[in-house]
Amino acid sequence: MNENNSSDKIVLSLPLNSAYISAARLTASSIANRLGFSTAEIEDVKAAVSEGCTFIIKEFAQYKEELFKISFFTGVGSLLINIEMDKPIDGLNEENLCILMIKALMDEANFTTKNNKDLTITMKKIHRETDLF
Amino acid sequence: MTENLKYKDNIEAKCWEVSLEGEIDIFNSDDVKSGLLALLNEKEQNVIIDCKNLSYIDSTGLSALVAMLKKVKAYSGDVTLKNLLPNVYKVIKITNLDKLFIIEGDGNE
Repeated sequence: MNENNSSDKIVLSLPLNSAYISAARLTASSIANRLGFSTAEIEDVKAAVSEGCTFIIKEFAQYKEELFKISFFTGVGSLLINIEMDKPIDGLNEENLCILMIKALMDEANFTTKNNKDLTITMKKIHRETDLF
Repeated sequence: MTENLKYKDNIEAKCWEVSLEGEIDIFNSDDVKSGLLALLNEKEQNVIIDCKNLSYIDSTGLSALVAMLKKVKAYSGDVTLKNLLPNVYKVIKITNLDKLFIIEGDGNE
């Protein structure tokens, strides 16, 4: 039974603690693998999710008791990911290395805030490659 | 010293032979950075980093490597990264660090 074409939402809630970033990478990797992404595509998704979490953990370091949310939306040949934190943020530096890496690794990447709070990092990866072996 | 970093002083070749291992991210990159800088404090010489067992490195890990590179360049030394896995080579390339480090191999082996 092939269930790869179904649209599912998977939500992961993590504390602002760098010890759990590997859990986010592992989850991202597992979901991308489930969608049939190539090894290189899985590595891109894993790295982009990790950079998104790193950005959130650094930017919101003062809220270390809080949780942030990672949502994965599976689609036909694509994976949409939102990483969200609903606390005030002092502007968004688009030259930040985490942001530049996410943009380079994913097909789409957007960074939005509402009234200097509620940061949402949205990223999308489209499945194009197939592993040769 | 962190478990992600192993090293040997190659006295004949006059260089530090370093091996980075496992996953380097925001959780352990400060320890890796401290370990690398401690080597340079002990002896100023070229650094060769074997990355064959480095499965993942993030932006904070790359920053640790750049901090070490700055210090090595200050005494006109070089840092070589060798045996990069494709995913590690990719993040080094997209951040243009392949222009600053000496890269042995293209990450596709």
